[in-house]
Amino acid sequence: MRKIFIDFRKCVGCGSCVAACAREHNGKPNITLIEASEIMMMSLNCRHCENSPCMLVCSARALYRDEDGAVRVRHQDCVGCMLCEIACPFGMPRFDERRKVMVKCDLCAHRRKEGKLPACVSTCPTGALVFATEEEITRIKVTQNIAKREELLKKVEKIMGGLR
Amino acid sequence: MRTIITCPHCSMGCRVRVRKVISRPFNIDYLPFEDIPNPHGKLCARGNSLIELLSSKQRLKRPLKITESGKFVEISWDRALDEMTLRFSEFSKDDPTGIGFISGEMISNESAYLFQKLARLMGTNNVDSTAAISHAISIRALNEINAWGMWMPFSTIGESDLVILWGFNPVGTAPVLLSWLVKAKENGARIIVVDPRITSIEKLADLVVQPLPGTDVFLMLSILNVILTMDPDASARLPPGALRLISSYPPVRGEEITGVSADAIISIARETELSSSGVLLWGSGITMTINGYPATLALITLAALKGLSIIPMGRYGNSQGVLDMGVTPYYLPGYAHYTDAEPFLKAWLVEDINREEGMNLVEMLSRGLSAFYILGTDIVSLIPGAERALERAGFVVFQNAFQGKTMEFADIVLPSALLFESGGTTTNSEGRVLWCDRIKRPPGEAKGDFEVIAQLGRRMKLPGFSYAFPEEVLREISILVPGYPEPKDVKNRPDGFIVPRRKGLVVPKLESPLSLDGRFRLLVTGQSMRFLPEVIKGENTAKINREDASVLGLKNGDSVIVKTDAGSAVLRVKISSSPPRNTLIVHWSDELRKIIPLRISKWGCLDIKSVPCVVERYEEDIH
Repeated sequence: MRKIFIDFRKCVGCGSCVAACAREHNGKPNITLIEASEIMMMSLNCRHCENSPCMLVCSARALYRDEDGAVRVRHQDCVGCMLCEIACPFGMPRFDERRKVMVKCDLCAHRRKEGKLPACVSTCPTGALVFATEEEITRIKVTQNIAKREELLKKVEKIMGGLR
Repeated sequence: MRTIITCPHCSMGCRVRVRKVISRPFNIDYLPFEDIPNPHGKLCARGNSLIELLSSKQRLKRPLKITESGKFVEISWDRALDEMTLRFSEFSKDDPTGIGFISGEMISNESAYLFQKLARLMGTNNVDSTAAISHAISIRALNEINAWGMWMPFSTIGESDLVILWGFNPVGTAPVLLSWLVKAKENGARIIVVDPRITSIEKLADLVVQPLPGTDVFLMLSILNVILTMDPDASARLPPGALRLISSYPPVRGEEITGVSADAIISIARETELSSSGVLLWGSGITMTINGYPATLALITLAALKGLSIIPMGRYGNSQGVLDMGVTPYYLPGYAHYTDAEPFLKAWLVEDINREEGMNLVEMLSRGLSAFYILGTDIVSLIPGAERALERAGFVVFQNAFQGKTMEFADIVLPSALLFESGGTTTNSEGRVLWCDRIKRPPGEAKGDFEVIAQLGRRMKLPGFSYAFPEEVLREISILVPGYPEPKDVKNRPDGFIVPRRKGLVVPKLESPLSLDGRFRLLVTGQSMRFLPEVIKGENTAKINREDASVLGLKNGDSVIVKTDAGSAVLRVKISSSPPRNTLIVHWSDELRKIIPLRISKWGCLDIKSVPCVVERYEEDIH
């Protein structure tokens, strides 16, 4: 179960992910960046929730979870009722006018098939997007915190001339 | 498979692999390499939508000629080139210096080289690029100080312990540079951002300094002042005139002018003192002010005194390349002076060339010439006041890949191929020459720029224009321009070739800046943000500080009238924490272009980042 984690401390809102997503998905992005203030960014994108409200409400049973944990639309079953868009807390699934079905983030299924990362993750210039399992993320966070703690200890030692 | 192309949008020169389906560009792949300008092939929004350019509706496809009723008719290449030959021969017979050659910054090195060769063999040195108002000022100062040896590639950012970003916001202009900044930050580097605006780059910064727009040079002089008091030995490297200048800007005076606290000035000086391997990056925020040239000199002097590496950032894909190729009135290719023209005479098979310095871009536009040849830039929408010059000119040729405002003034419009439709090299801001493959045939009858110029040269009976491939031109360049590679050194190499620059004694130099006028200033941003994909384009509003807004009695969404020397415009304002006091931040647009005066200082710097203006509340008439 790998998911995209966003490190908002690194995100500067350059919009690369939006453009990459649009390129991979026929010109319409599945990510919406919101500029909350001059320096704060917020992104609305599919979180592939564990208890997905979209999957629960889908009357046609067109939404399913694939082997990597991505919530995807089976387009031949979708009736385009937009219930999933109403149920989604982020309002992410959107209606495709041409195909008359709902479209949402599929974690770049075609790229994952080739063994690549989703387009938004591979393109992020600051590395704010990480595609990993929850355990991996925990490990990354722990190592970061340990490194910070060690740095702090070193600083303290430098100033106080050693703790012992 | 030769399908690695260079992104032409900014001066990073990002490398992209194009995947083809049925021999047509279909999608792009991120390159997995480390040592290319964009590590791991990361791309920004403009780079990600790169192949959209190929199918743009704005593309020019056939040569056009204006009729007497003011309509364009399609003509054949033969007729277009014949007409150009005839008209240009007429002008060059009377007075070749009446023709102006202006190039863009997104053309290949080969096209740029042939463009200046055409101009110089026709007998004029009036050849300049749009880089003249930004990047050329940095390079002129760099050449003056002889700081070529301090110029480092982007990979040094990752290993440095101090990064100073001055007048340059990578989030907007070169987002891929952020990957190097993040790497530096992870290695424990300190990052200092000097920008009048508050932008999201602040997240990565350790110290943010917000000077008033246009006052950067005074801030630098104050920092130099502090450095000299901390380290008096450094003063031995400066000429006496410079010492006098520096001593008149103590931090207290700097605080008065720039609005930056004296403490912040001292802490920047201390950071540079503590660092052993710092990098200093600057961009058009400095060069596009009235004191652009002295500011760049002061910045390079600061770097030279403290042993910092420098990277001057250009605005477009080949800002550096067009200057290296001599598309400037002051130098021949490779920054050779007109007195050292002998190798060029031999290679160009001519007895002599015009050895007088030509007019620069702004002089050409403000004095008005009888004919213009504009290559690869929509100059009317980029340079304020270009309209008037083109209206007065008798004959204008506009050669570009896209339609633009300049078409209105053109007599002949030629369609040109994009960089990745014709092939060629570009040089990015670290001086890396990158070969861009040809991935597709140009649309319609469009042709590569170098091909058109070579044909024109042959028709004008100029010697040595028999080129059929860009490789032949690059070979000639490699002979004439020191350091430039041969085709075999750059082809099929994703990492390109870094031009070795001459190293020599760095001679720090300073010039006294002009004082600024006007209380309220206009800071124009986003001039190089064309081609931003539709999906991330924001709304266009002017941003104003909360305090200024309350003085003027404005609230969000109100309109203001902005008056400058050249005219006035009505803009909607948004109250924001981004601008400093007495500043209106506006996005470059067509309405705005008309109110910016074409006013240059004695160094040829055009003021776009600190235009004096008067801002008043605009009362809409209620009928």
